[in-house]
Amino acid sequence: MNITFTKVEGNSSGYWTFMALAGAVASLAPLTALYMFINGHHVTGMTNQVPWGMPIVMAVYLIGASAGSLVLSAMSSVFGRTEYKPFARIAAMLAVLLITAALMAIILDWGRPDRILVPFFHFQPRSMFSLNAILYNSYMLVGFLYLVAQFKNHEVWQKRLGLLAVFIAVGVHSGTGAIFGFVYVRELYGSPLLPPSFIAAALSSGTAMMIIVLHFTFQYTGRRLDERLIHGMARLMGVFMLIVLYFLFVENVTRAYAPKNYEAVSFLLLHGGKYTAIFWGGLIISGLVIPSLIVFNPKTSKAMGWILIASFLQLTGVLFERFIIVIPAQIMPLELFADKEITSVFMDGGYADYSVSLVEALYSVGLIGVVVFGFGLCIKLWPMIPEEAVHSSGDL
Amino acid sequence: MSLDRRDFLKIGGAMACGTALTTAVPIVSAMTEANETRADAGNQWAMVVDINKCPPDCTACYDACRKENNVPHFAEPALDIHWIRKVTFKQKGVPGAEERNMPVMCFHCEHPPCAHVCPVAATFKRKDGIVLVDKHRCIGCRYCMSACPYKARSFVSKHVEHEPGQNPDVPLRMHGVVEKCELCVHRVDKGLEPACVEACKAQGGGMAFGNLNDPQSEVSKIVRSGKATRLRADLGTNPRVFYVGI
Amino acid sequence: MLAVAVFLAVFSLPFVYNTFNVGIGGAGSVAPKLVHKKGECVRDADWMRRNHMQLLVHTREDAVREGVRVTDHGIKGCRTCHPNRAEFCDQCHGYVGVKPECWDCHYYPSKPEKTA
Ligand code: SF4
Ligand code: SF4
Repeated sequence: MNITFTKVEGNSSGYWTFMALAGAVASLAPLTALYMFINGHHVTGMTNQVPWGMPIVMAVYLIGASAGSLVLSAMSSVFGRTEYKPFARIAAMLAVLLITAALMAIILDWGRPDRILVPFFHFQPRSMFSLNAILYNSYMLVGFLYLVAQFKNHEVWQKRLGLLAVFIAVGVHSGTGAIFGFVYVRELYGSPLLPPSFIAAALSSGTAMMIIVLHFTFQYTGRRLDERLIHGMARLMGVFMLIVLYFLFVENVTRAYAPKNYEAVSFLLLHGGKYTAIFWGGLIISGLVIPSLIVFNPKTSKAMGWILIASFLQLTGVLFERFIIVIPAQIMPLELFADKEITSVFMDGGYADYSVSLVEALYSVGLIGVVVFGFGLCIKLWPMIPEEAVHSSGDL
Repeated sequence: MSLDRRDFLKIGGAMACGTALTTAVPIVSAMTEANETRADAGNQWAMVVDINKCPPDCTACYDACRKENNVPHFAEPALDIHWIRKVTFKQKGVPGAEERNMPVMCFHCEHPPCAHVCPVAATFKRKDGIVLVDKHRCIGCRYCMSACPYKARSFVSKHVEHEPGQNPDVPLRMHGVVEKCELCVHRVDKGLEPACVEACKAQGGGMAFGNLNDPQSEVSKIVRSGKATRLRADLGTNPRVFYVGI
Repeated sequence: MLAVAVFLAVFSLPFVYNTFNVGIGGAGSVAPKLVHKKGECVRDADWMRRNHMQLLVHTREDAVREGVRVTDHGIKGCRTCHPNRAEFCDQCHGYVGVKPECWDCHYYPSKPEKTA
């Protein structure tokens, strides 16, 4: 099967409007970061009670989507699913763009982003953060090389680098999960299941994102996309979603069994106000159950509109999942004593509160803008998109 | 002249930047001449607090700490910085339980999770067991705040300015770094006790400070008696601050 | 062509900035004059002029991390002979257009203290 990849012309007014819009949104990220840095973090919703807020949620989210789309890209070269070959380049490019935006999300959220060089000179191998820095950067590099191998049409290296990239993607994911999983003092963080459940959610969100990106890119560049390919991806996404559900179930049931966790679990699942609402409404119902129903129901599983809805719900659902991983664990009070109630002026013993401030919201949107802008730029500069994507089993 | 790893890296960095090597070398030799360190591994500093002696309304240690260390005060309670704080506790699940107070600060854990997670080793344990934040190096990632089991850490989320009446011996903090109790390291290095202990003793309170390795010190006597407990000993962090009377 | 122009414009920003603001020979710069004191510095003046920052960084690392409290190599040492920051640190830093962050936190009055 021969696939011709071409650049988009990128001269139409539509393209330039798109780029201008994306650029404007993208500029929000550095601008809000500058604002945070100049004023100090008190302009955000993050406090001494909840030191990690939306920027970290976004970082984790983007990393997830990145690893997910990289695995999809490797589908054809590594796992022999040649029907996905037309998407290999787009997916690999998105993976690189997303991990770049994720690194940006983390670094610009530091209290001192001006000390960007410090980690290069002082490396502390016991920290999950430092290990992840290595993983992220090598991942970015390998993803890039993998992309180059595809451009050179070098089958062997494509395979090798693709395999390596998949391994590192798994590492990146386990590592990111471990950032939280290794914090053993917080009931809602410390869990050996976090790394694998991170991977599952990464794959499902990566697939969802690819479906959306592919559909709109092909539509707006006037190329033909065989819907059967999308149907396959939707089914794949459904399987990943079920795995995510399974992990969530096991994790919470295990946690709920130990009496010392009663408070934490009932906070998350029953009386946590907006966190409970996000968990059930945003993640379980609209993020996992409804999309699964859509992609497994024979009536809707072949309709492009429904699949797009399912992908969109799943994509936001995983954002909520990341929120649920990062935030509620910090909302829960830390117990200084196992059996004493405590209070203090530093809010010991009480539930903290976190709301996303406008700055953080703009910052998060800006990060997505960075990815979209990069995407628009790359498809103009390099031949990323195939002339047409047809299922390898033949034409319709 | 001996090069330690840090010097080696420095020189490497200097070379990489194209800076003349000659500027880095003389410094190294100069510094090794006068290497008199006050952080002696033979001293393991520890603190004992007898909370039976804490009157309900006493704030001597908190006040002394804020004053000594120029701890900034931010109006919003969620952003305010606490190096040492007063925690009120009572038995859970029992009606009419009695309320009691205790000071809580950084416990200078023997196995500090904060230092283990710090990606740049800005938080580190000195040879004498004091856990410090190198605020020149901290990048403000706040991982340590998630990892500390005792909520001992605060993030400086606003600018802090010099004001008259501050203690010139302790620098202020820049915004964007994490800070916490330093066990008054500047005083300990001079052979003094931490400010909170001094203020508490002046009130006839129950704080004691000393060397855990010295069998004659008050703290090691109390700790050996088995009457002192640590908070969340189950985590294995081995705090260096002990409590009597919990 | 456009890209090159944009690059050059951005690249030369610092130079433009310095020419119109502080900086060596820039507008409004006054050549620094160090008030000479009797006595010796820890190194000769020429060496100090170039390398004092490295000495300070080294002292800082040793003091914070190892508890080496040799004050005469640190900023407290500077303060004993040069009590006035404005005449000592600031004028030269202003002239060359560098902004070290030391005094955001560390105490070094820009006027000599009355006592001591
Ligand atoms: S109490 Fe917290 S901040 Fe202090 S050493 Fe232990 S973990 Fe670190
Ligand atoms: S905030 Fe600073 S001290 Fe804490 S982990 Fe990050 S770099 Fe280390």
